[in-house]
Amino acid sequence: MRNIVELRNITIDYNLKKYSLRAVSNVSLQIKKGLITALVGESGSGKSTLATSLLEVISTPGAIDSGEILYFGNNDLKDIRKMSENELTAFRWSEISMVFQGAQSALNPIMTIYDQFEETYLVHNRHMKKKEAIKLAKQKSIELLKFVNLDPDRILQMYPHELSGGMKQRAMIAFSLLLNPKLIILDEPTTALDVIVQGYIFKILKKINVDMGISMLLLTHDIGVVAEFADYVAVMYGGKLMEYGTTHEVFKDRMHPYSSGLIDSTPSLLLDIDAMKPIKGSPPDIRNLPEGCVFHPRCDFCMEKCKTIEPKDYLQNDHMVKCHLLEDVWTQ
Amino acid sequence: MKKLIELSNINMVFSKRGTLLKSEKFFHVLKNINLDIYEGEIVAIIGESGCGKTTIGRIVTGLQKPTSGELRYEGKNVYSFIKVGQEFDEYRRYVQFVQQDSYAALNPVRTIKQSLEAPIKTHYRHLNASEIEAKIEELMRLVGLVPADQFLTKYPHQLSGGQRQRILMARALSLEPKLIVADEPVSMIDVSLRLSILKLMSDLNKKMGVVFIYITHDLSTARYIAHKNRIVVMYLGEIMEEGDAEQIISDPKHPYTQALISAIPIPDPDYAKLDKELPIKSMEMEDLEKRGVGCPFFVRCLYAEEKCLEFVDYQFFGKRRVKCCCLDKVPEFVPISKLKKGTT
Repeated sequence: MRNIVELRNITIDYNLKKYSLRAVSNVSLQIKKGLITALVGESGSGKSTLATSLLEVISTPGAIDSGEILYFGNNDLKDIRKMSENELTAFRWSEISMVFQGAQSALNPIMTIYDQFEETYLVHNRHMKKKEAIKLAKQKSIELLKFVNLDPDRILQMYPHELSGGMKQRAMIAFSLLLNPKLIILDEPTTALDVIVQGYIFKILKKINVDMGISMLLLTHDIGVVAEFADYVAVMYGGKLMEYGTTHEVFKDRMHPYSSGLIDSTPSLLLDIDAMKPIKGSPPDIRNLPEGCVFHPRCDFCMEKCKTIEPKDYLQNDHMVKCHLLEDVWTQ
Repeated sequence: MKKLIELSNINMVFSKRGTLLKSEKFFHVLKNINLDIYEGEIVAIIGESGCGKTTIGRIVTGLQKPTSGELRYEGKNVYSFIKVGQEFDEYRRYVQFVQQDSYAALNPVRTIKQSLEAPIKTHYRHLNASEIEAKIEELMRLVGLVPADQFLTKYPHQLSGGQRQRILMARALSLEPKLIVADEPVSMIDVSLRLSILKLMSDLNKKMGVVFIYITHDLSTARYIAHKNRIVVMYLGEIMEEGDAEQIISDPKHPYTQALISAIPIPDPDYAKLDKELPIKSMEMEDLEKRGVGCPFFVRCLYAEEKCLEFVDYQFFGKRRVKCCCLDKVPEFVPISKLKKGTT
């Protein structure tokens, strides 16, 4: 399976006045072409920071400290970090686009939906004659809104506040498809929505993934959504990548105590009530991360060396687990 | 079992003031709600946003007076209390509220100790300083925040979401309530900690017999906390289905409950990857303003008929009730565990 994006040893710091916070530390991750990769983590695990680095739009004062972000586009390979500002402007949205958390705040409240579509289309197609570009923008936006099951005649002239939460999110998804990107980053796309609407939106996203062949990176904290939707899963904790593998491997092999605990702590309609249990302790303070393995204070399998030595990445085929338990079992 | 709270024929109408050009609008957010809460139980009320579940919570806690209908506490009408004076205050003491946003619910410029002290000082005037301190320590132990000193001198922003939610629980417990209404207490808490808050609630229920009304949009957490108790499913201001939690989840009768359960993602790829069809016609909810007398689920229901537009009454199956007039048309629900495992 080919990759569309490869992150190599990415470290991202937030340089504050008094100290600097390491939000993401030494993460290597592959995003597979044509598939859905889920990035799972609790709040503060660094997943949003990592995802925004793909577009080089990390909110200040955050900055990538080291590492490479390789993008495999049309038969060529680019390092996103080495792009110039002009290249980046052209790159954003036309190669990788993003559906932000809470479409409410991502859409411009004083522009109609159509105007926002048109504006973006024109900016990215400056070489075209304006009349022609407007015609194409109109065509494209009607087509996309139909694809997400919204009525274009009605919706295009509306302002964001006139739409319900689910409709706004669907408009946002249509918007992210405007320039035919190869990869869409979905940052908690259904967090504020009702379950039925959530199910519906994931149906549409799956359709986009299958019919248009667009790769997706899904950021979420909802294990249920991951199981249903993703092909690959990356689990982050305290700014580090703890496990990476296919959904089946992560859910069934249960190699990492954190991923396993996260799955067990998700209330389900299926499991026995007694089988569900929370992870002890609370998520780490990123200013003050524990030594050794970041998860050791909460881990049921904590050994002496977990407290001092950071585990290496152990591999079996594509499946990566960062845990001392696999030291003698898997290869490094 | 003794009835603690009775809601009978509760209606709640909110109005939006008109302007020169627009006439006044009315929103019928709760429609003929009948619900009994018994001593010692946990009731989960589930529904989507806008279904009126929080309004029920506000009515039960006495924060909002219903437009019509009676709210009875141990058989006495709460709103005839007011004339008698102090009794209403007593009621407010016995029924406590835990909100969703723990950060907004605590005063940011007061320490945890000050926040916990305030209600105790108001309601237990006879206690002296050291007795209050002992009481606070006891409460902190109950909600699992030990050692207490470590938390008492802190401000809300210094605690994590889970810890703040426990503080809210301690504050609600400080007045020895009979009932706690918990409105989405875990929706803003990290996933790995949600179960511990739910577990705390069910432990308090077992140990101290505090009745909980757990308000949520998440059926899986409702199942966890109320699995031996009741679930009430609401839609657009009406109770659509009520009954034993496990029964509702394994055999939902109302088309809305069926849709709700099918939409919930299962954290197991074997089941989750199955291509389930959402048994629903339209995504859009009916406008509250334009509601008629009929079934509120009419526009989205696959099985709707003409007769659904008229008044729909409950059908009873033992302790279970379902508000649907086409039950004979609704197919039996295939529980998730009975679905064939997929190959992934």
